[in-house]
Amino acid sequence: MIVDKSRCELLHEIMAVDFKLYDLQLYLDTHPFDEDALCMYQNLVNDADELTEEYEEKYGPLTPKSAAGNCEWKWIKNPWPWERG
Amino acid sequence: MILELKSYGHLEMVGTLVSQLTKGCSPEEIRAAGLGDYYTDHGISVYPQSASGVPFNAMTLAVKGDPITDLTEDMAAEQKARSTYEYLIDLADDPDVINVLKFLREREVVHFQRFGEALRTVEEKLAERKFYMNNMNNTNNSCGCNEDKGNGTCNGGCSNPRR
Repeated sequence: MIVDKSRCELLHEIMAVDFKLYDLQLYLDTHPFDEDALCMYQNLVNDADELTEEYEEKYGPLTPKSAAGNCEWKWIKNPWPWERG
Repeated sequence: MILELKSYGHLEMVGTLVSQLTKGCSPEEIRAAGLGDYYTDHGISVYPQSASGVPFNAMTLAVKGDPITDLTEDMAAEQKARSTYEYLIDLADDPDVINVLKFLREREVVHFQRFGEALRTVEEKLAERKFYMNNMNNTNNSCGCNEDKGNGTCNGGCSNPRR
């Protein structure tokens, strides 16, 4: 499957934001009252939601939860993570 | 458990590396890369085993149920993983592979830090002065003791006689 550049770029952006969220989550587990980190986390959640919505609208589901179309299971139409374009 | 979930994530990334690197390889190339034995046992599928061929086993994991012990174990595991990534970087020559390994190595350092903070939190919690409120519901006398229940006095016979 040929993955066009903008799809790759968008996915890369989502992965970067998700990664920031994950790292910040670990930080917040041991610093639960750090207000700067809490604020940063919430901003990143909003970014991730926006990017995910944009991606899924254009290119299909990122998680199985958004894969149920009206007449087709869209999950298996995506390339698997280990498949390159 | 957290450690294992994280390790599954790393396993997926390393497995993807191996899968991409071996895609389209000829049997000659596989043999020349020292993967002949592996190919015989597992084809080109990704199988969890050590570099020396020992399959993954739950015996490599340890848990004692003591938070100090377990967190220290977790921290050691992070350092072992960091060392392993460093040895892999020594052996690797593909810059794309080295970049992934460097990223994963960095994660081990950050996770070691986080586990260290968790350990410190546990140690501080355990070192806190404890207050036992065991006279709350069964005290009858004004001095706080339970002797001679009923008449509100212990007649000075307890260790904190009524003043």
